[in-house]
Amino acid sequence: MSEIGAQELMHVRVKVNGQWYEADVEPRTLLIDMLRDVLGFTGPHIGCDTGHCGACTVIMNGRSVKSCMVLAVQADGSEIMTVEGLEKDGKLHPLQEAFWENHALQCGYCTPGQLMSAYFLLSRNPNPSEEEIRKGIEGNLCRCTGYVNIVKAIKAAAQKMADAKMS
Amino acid sequence: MRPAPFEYYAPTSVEDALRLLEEKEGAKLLAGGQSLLALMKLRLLAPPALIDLNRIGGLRYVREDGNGWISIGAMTLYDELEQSPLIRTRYPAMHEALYRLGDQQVRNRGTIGGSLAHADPSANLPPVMVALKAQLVAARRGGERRTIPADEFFLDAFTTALEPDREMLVEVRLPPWPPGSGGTYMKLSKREIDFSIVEVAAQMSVDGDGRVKESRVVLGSVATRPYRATAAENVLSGSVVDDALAAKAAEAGTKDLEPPSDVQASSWYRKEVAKVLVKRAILRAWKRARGVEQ
Repeated sequence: MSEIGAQELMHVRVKVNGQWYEADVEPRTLLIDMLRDVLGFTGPHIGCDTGHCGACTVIMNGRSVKSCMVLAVQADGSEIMTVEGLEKDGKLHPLQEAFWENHALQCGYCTPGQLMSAYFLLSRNPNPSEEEIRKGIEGNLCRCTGYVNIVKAIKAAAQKMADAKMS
Repeated sequence: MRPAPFEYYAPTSVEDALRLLEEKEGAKLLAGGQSLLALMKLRLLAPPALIDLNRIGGLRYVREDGNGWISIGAMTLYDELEQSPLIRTRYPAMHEALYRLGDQQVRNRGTIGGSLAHADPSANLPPVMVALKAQLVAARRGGERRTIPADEFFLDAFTTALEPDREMLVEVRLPPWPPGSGGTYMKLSKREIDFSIVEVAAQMSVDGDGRVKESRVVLGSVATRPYRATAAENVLSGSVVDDALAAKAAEAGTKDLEPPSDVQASSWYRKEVAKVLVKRAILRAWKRARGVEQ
């Protein structure tokens, strides 16, 4: 059992985008702050800081979570994927390509979170309907696009991924 | 904002968690954290210690017992319950409440036990638990267990029958409803991800002619705890439900409501909406019980 005093630092090990990292953090440190300020993963953004906007969404042990609503100490031993983990060998992920091609972002602030929510959705449901896509990203606010192009992009990405599997 | 400093404990057994709860003055149990961490970040709460339940094994399950009851571990995620075919087919009211609870990220983290112990008056699950006649199992040190009917569990806003510093919720048990039963959950909120302005859970069983044998109509967001509309249940009892009867039951069941006014809605508006939702919920629950609607 871990018991950590309020002022003490806790040693945390997390696997981020396939590589293990270690850090000493206060119990109150949020996962998003450890990712950004300690480990240097500045892809996930801090938007509202109240658990509403979803800009800080990352995948933790296979599930999308808002990393401002998880303590860093809770992530000890976890596997985390941030938006930086989507790209492989210099090639964009089909979701990133589809966002680009469908003009699914304007200011881009919410995009890292949108991508990770879309990633979780497609990991569970490779061929979602428009309604399922809208449901899947309801925890991610976008103030620019009106969502239409984001929905289109996710649909297109699903198609790309299906095609890639076929060939 | 960031939470005020706190001590952090991550016990690996219920017994250790309960010992810490007793020893650490003012400590809070941390389940999914989707409400607690939000309150701590706003500094509305600043507990000196958190006892994280996520490292305790054996509290995440949905299983059917031999006698038709369904048992759910307190740390089972909303998402796991929402995806459960057992919950969807046996308790459509609960499935609907879970489908419309928070967003995907919240459902990936939040737990049934956390929600019920938090007892937010506008949360989705409390009225459903009362409507389904759930039994909530509290653990005490030394392996002691106590079963609390959902009817008696929610005492006031953010206040439950769990004994402070001595008990924690470990299991939710749902009783079998007989063949010829049906239920539904409905809510009005500004957006899907928002807390409800009014919510209703209705559950009933009917005989072969469609006469109501037993019914439960429970509202949320209209009082400091789930509000059981017994007057509506009395109107339904022994009758075949039609539009007029559902309207009469809704009128009777919401007559004595004195809902709060807040930034979301006025008291008057809540009461009007409650009437509409109760009527619709009764009609759908009855049709489901009759097997004429999914």
